[in-house]
Amino acid sequence: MTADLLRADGVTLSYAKRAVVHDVSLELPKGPTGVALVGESGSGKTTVARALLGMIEPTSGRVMFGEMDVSQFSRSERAEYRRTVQPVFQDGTEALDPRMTVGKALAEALSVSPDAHLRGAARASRVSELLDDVGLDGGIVDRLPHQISGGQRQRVCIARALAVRPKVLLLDEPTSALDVTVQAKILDLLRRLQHEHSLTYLLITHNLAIVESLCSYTAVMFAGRVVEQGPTREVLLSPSHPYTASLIAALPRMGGQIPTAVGRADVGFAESGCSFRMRCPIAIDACLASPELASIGGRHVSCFRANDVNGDPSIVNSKEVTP
Amino acid sequence: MTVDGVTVTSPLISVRDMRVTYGDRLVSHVPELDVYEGECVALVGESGSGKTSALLAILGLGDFSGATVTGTVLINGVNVVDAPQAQLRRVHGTAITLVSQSPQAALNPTMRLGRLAKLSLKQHGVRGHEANVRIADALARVVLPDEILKRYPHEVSGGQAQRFCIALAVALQVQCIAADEPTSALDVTVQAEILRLLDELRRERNMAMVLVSHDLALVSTLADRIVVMKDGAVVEVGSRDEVLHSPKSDYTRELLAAVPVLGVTS
Ligand SMILES: Nc1ncnc2c1ncn2[C@@H]1O[C@H](COP(=O)(O)OP(=O)(O)OP(=O)(O)O)[C@@H](O)[C@H]1O
Ligand SMILES: Nc1ncnc2c1ncn2[C@@H]1O[C@H](COP(=O)(O)OP(=O)(O)OP(=O)(O)O)[C@@H](O)[C@H]1O
Ligand code: SF4
Ligand SMILES: [Mg+2]
Ligand SMILES: [Mg+2]
Repeated sequence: MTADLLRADGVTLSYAKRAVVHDVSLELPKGPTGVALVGESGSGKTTVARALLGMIEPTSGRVMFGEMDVSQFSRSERAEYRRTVQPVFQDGTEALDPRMTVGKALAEALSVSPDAHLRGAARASRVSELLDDVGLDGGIVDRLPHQISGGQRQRVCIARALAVRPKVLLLDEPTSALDVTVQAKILDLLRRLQHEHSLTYLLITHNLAIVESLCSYTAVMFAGRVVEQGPTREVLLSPSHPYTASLIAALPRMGGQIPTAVGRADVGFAESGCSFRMRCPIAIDACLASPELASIGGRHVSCFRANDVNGDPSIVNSKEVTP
Repeated sequence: MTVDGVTVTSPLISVRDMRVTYGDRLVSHVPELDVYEGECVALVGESGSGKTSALLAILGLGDFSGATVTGTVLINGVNVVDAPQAQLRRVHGTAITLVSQSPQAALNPTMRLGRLAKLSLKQHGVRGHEANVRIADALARVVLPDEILKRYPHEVSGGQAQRFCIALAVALQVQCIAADEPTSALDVTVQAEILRLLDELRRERNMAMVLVSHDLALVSTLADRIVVMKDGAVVEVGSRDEVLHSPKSDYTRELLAAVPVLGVTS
């Protein structure tokens, strides 16, 4: 697949020799497009993003930037790749230096960008172009991060990422610190930028309802593995893996009850066999073995009973234990 | 308290004319708010509308972020707005405790979680076996393995840190949890688990909750009353059903309309 800009090729990722991500493959094609990474807290989503950013090296497998293995990069190649792939994190407060004005933060980003040579008026005009891009007023350049709202901070973070003219943005919970009206505006902004700059997004979020507007493809992680991946509409609207189904069933609904238990989240995950086994309401003896990520229609699912789930999230509510 | 044979419960928290300012900028004003035992009151509204500022002020923690707080916030008869440090500390371990928006930042990065938990119980006079039992129970309730106690805050995921903070509140057996976006870092299945946990704590221990969240769908499953804030002011207060089904302010209507729904692309 030479069309991919960036891809994880069967990566296993570890902290201090403890593997937390196992054999994950993910392809980020050329933009404008988006891939969503959703799933359990602690399942390794941020860790995968760190690997794609070259911040941690896989214990096995490779991260490929086009045709090149990221770990083989020379210093200058690495600098180029670092520019091309930019992160935007959840909380603008932590990502921005509290003592640096917005103008300074953007200038700093420009100094490592292809526009580093710009001086004086040309530079100022690039800064205002960036602010304009994210819908901020030029007057904001003299303000410090705590003097602007959360939504404005997130726009500044996006502008800062855009300053280096990237091709890929890794968005880790980009709107979860924002209220729904501001979130809607940031999503509109991201959608517009995606098309105007032909960007590829990797969107990490717990908010399944925002996935579809930016990402046509979705991967679902559980316990360090991708358990289901495929076109967003198929995966989220008619899940094939019981964990995906339980995610959908656990979404709080306006004015509804607290979502009921869907396989108990407090039992953790199994170390052998299917890792979702202990929570899975439809587990069978066969699940003591490990299911492979197998292709079913246009998607990949690792579940022995994927065909029984087959788009019916309510199956996870059934009391049935054996078929 | 009993008056003429009728039990009159006084509120656990009673806020009157509370104003939070940074320099000369008023960022949060709550004219009146009472929170009773077992009740969940949610603050929702715009980013930057003053929800976190209000919550910190209710905890008596306003001055830590450099804010000036005026008015009264009575918790168990103590006005935390101007209470001396020692008194405030007592209120925090027994009456109310904070579960914050960025849990990882709230935890001392140089200590393993086990030591953090023990220390925080010790500050409120719980030690030894009793402390160990309470910590183990609390971890089980928030769905974390004991093994987590050996880790440092940066070695756990955002969601795990969040659950650990809730576990601390559970172990302290406080009367009220003040939670700032307690589940925004959690996947929805774990979130559902935490919501059920908070709901159970409310039923079994009559624990009260002041919940800050911009997830209206989430708030709608848990809150008894909803306070809507915008630009530092309270624009609407009402029961959950009033606010959700017959909102009075335009801003509330705008918020309700902006809630994203799966399968409906805007
Ligand atoms: N720096 C670190 N050192 C050791 N372990 C870590 C470190 N960072 C994360 N982990 C562990 O690796 C696993 C994956 O963490 P990661 O942050 O990638 O999860 P996540 O899917 O992003 O979770 P969340 O949705 O809660 O943000 C978790 O078990 C976590 O405890
Ligand atoms: N330490 C501080 N110094 C100066 N101003 C501050 C400080 N902390 C907050 N503010 C300002 O006070 C206002 C209210 O902020 P607050 O954090 O209470 O809002 P919030 O409703 O919790 O927003 P969010 O939903 O983004 O968390 C904002 O305009 C913010 O910029
Ligand atoms: S049915 Fe079996 S393989 Fe499929 S998720 Fe449940 S336990 Fe795993
Ligand atoms: Mg994460
Ligand atoms: Mg806040």
